[in-house]
Amino acid sequence: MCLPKQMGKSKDDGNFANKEAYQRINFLYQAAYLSLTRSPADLSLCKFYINIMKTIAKRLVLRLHPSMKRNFCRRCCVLLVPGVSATVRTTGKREKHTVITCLECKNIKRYLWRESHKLWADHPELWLKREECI
Amino acid sequence: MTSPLPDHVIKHSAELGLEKNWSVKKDFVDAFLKRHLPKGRLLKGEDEEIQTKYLMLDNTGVNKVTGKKRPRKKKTLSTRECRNLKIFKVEKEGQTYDSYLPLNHLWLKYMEELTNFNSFTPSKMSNVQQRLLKADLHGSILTVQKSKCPSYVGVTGILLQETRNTFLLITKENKVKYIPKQQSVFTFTLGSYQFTIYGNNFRVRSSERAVRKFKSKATVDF
Ligand SMILES: [Zn+2]
Repeated sequence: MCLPKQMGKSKDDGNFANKEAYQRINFLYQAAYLSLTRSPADLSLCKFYINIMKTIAKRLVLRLHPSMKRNFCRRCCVLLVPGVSATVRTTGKREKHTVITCLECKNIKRYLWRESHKLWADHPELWLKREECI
Repeated sequence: MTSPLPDHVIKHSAELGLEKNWSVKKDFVDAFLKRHLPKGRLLKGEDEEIQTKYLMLDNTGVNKVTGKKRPRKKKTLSTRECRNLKIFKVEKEGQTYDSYLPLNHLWLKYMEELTNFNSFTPSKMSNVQQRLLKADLHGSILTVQKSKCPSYVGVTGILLQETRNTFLLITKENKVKYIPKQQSVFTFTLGSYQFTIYGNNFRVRSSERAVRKFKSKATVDF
């Protein structure tokens, strides 16, 4: 992960900017998963924790990893677990794609199967190295 | 928009060459249309038509067939819609304290990672306090130490939901209780230390706490 300049000065390797916020996001994500597995019938807490996580990331302008960001519903903030709170189907006559439907609010996400498309996080060469930051 | 020319200008209009300007303008429009319209459309006589036709230059989003304006689809819910749909409302019936114990264990692990509470010394206390202010409290075991309302005093439970003005606790008797932050003092323990939360100064949305800067306020005890 890229580190901002002013924090690069400290030699302590375990420290980077917004570490507490990242820890909190991590905790909230796990808490949401826990409350989903605890009671698949009552998803209110799962939604609540994800909503807080989203707001924190928004307020502090932190990037969530795509695997995290794609794993919850944009509309009602529920974690999308295939078979429990979401269905995953592949369709498309013109161009093949995957459709993920949220079972809570019926919101859909579409992902194309383009081979040329690569996520930003999947390019290790684009990441800034620690030395470059300092 | 236009007003008639003043008298003295009209008198000398011929000398000034004002009459000519009209024809120049018309020639320009014709020439422009001839240059820029496709040939097929010119043959249909469209250049005559266009001169009297209104064209909207910005995209108005109006359907050409039905003439109806289509509303833009919103992707996220607003806060008010969230409340009206009761998305975050926790059911009060059929909840058990034991099923929330894993959440408490998860929270303890998170706290251990954040503050190393088993090994911190009093000298690091202010640093730990700063971190705790921005930390998440969902899953902690809170106790109401003092309150203006005597029936709240002594309630202990796992914190499920923190809103701007309330804590939602689940007690050991499997009861879900909303407790207002105002006029109450809460405590929780970490390792061998006990921390106190003054509800009056804690009335912020939990997501906002991560961003906001805190000022030290004098606490008035009751
Ligand atoms: Zn949804």
